[in-house]
Amino acid sequence: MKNLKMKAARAAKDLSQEDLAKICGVSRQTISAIEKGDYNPTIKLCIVICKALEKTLDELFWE
Amino acid sequence: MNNSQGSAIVLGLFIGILIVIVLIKTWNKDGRLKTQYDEMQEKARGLAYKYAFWTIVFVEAVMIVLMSFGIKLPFDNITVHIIPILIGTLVQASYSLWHNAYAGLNTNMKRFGIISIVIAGVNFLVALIAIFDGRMIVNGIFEFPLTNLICGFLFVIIGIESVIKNHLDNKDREED
Repeated sequence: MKNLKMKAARAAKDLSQEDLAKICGVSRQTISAIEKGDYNPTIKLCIVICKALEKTLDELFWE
Repeated sequence: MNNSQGSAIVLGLFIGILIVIVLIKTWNKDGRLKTQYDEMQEKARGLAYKYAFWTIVFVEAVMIVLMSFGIKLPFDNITVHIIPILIGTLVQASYSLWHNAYAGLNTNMKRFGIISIVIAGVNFLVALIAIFDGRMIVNGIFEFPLTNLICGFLFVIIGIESVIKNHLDNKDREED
């Protein structure tokens, strides 16, 4: 399932996938895969993404 | 295989390991020996190694079955075991590549590409010299230099795959 909330939060901060990937210490493809719903990140990476986008886990990863 | 051949192979392996260490340090942006991968890449690479392992087991088993039926394979004693390893390597590299886990986070792709082209070139050169010297095929059997030819083609295949994958990645980036 696509993670549109994460994509929207990233766009709201005017970050590209590349930018967010650099902040989170992962590859751009990993961010792309999470947004497309092709990869389920670990809770550790979810927290890093949430901190980078200044959102809570519920806001980004809860249905 | 006599003792001098064995010693030469051990020495070659040792020198090979040293060269690989220098190359990894060269193509990693931070000059470190360890290539860094993120969690998705680590997962994909784990699967890549699994598929490569079973590929090697399968190809070796095929070789053993063929030989047990008395079918004479047109490769020398060493090459017959190196071929499964090279096929396994191709499986590992291809799976990693198509699952975005071939290049690490600290890999300088430009340097990596140049080094790959040089390695492929050296392998093709060694194979070509062996062909002209008549050392590639002796008495209808492919000798050890076949390994260089296969290595060269392996790098070419990975190179072509990388170009296609890079093209698809650029499309994905544009959609972002």
